[in-house]
Amino acid sequence: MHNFSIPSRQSAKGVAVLLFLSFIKFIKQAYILVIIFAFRFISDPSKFLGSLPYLGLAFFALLVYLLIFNYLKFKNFKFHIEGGQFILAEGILNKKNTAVSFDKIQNVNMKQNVLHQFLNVVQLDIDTAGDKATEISITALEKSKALALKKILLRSGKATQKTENKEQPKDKIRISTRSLFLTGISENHVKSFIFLAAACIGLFSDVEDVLKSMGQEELYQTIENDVLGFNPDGLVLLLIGVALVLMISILYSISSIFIKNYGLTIATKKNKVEVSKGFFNKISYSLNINRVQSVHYETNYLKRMLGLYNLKILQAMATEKSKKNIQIVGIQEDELRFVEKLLFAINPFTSGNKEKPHTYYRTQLLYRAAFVLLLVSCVGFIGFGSQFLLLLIVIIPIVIRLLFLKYQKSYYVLSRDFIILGSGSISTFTSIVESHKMQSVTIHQNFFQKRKKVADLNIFVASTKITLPCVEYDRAIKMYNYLLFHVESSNKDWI
Amino acid sequence: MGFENQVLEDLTIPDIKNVPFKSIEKKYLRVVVGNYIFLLLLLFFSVGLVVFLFHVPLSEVLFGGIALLLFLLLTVSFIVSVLSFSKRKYAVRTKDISYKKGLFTTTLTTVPFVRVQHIDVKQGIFSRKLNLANLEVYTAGESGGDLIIKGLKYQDANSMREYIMSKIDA
Repeated sequence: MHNFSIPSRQSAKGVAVLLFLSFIKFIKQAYILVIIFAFRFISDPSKFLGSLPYLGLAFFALLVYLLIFNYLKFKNFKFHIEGGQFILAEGILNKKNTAVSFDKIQNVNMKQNVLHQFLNVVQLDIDTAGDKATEISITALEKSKALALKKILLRSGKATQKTENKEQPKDKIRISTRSLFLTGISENHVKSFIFLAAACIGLFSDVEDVLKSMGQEELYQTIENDVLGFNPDGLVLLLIGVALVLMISILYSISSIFIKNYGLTIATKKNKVEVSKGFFNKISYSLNINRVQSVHYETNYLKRMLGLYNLKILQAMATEKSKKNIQIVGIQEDELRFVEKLLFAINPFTSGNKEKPHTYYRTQLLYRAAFVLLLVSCVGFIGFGSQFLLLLIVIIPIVIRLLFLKYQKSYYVLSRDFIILGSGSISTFTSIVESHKMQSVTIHQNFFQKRKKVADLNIFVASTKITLPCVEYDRAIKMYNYLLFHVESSNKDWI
Repeated sequence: MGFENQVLEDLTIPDIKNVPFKSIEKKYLRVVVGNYIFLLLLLFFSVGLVVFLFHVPLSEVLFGGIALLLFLLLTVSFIVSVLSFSKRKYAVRTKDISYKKGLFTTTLTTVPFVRVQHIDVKQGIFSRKLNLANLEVYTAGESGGDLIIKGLKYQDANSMREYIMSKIDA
């Protein structure tokens, strides 16, 4: 049906997709320009309309340039399969040849944005283990061709050869819209609030420039005096502003989670897990169970009451981008247990006992927080005067509460086959790693830890680093010895 | 005699504490000193450049402060690395390689050969003069887990590399 042994190009419709994507990229980078033009139009419509023909010409030139550039890019982009390798030739002036052997291919992802869906083409991304440089993205392929290529690429992989008899019946989990909605509400909004507040402050200073350029300096002065001078009117305005920003950040969380994860399904097939999701941009990727390096999940106070978790499945050397992709939000506890069983064959928690870090960990956290607080209050005192120190009355109890929570939530399990780490203060994090996937191990001990006979045990895997904090030294050495023994004596591969 | 059933793992698992560690070459201290002098000269040179070219006086609080801070940082780290020099030790077992370092803060790292991705033997200018080399062992894990031994004899570093490579291929 599809012959991949001869070099072939992307779908001819690909030019449209490429053009669209680079246009979007341009707009994203040049949005300031758009805002400037908008303000120009508001401040002096007639003058702006006068310069419109030139603008139109520039826009037309840009379009022609992008069209030619992307056409050449399309023409010079050829791929084929030869001797167990996927070979890609690309580049208009600087030619680049990339060859990836099937063994190295970790997963093949399919994406569709709105235009893709309209043209009935897909974007195919090939993730490889090990090399960050060899990441391949084919922007537009006919759907049937993409599926055929995906099948070939994944079939010949090493991991599929050792299927073992672990064949599960095909099973499916679908995250309901209700769960997504509740996840959106119960997210930690602090981050998006800070982000939005920062953006607002940034916008505020932009407003200053704009108003000045429009000769409305007085208006700005009154706004500034009201808000920053803490006039009663200004204070109310500020409070309303904060409430508004908070509301927007919650709405933003809900809608972004909804748009990214709409129709989130997890399906299992042999030793693969297929995850698909997305409202506008549909993404589907399949990951090999053998290649999973670590599993992380997160919940917080609200989420726990709703019985919801966010799950992350990490693979080797995943780039920051694809790390985010294998994220499953709004999963329920029994579904989580199901996924765990799928990945690990047993519930990892039944494999060993929970241990707590030495109480020195709490002392260490306190010392570190005290040091940071001292530094901050010194800087604050110099910058804002003694008023700043009043803030400490609020900050110190919060920090202490968080520290105690952090110690309370901290535990680890080291069993024959698993390393589990519990952490977090506001949120509760759980990380699970199969012991034989360890790459290297270190024991780290600072001056104070040495006196208390405790040490940090760092376990490095291909996706992350797991730190067991303040383990009693003798116990840490025992774990160190055991982990090395386990990796060196078993013939299980890490990938 | 009561019945005894000891945990087997404790008996058979090799203990890292019983491994004899070897110190790195004493000559490497000269490289440490050389590096310090080189960085110091670089600092003086760039400070001088800024003073004479851009006429920023050393008495300028920010500029002088940063220069002083850099000088102190360099010197303190130099002193610490001289004091902790004798703590830099490595060991090669049949299945892994270990390295430990540090005086106030100690770190012990072990990389099993089965997890090694690639190995580099590197030489700087000073090291080449003294016939020394660095052995750098990389895994697929995060960068903090890689193992770098500085100040080995060039031949030793190479033969260690050969040895590990032969273990990987086997």
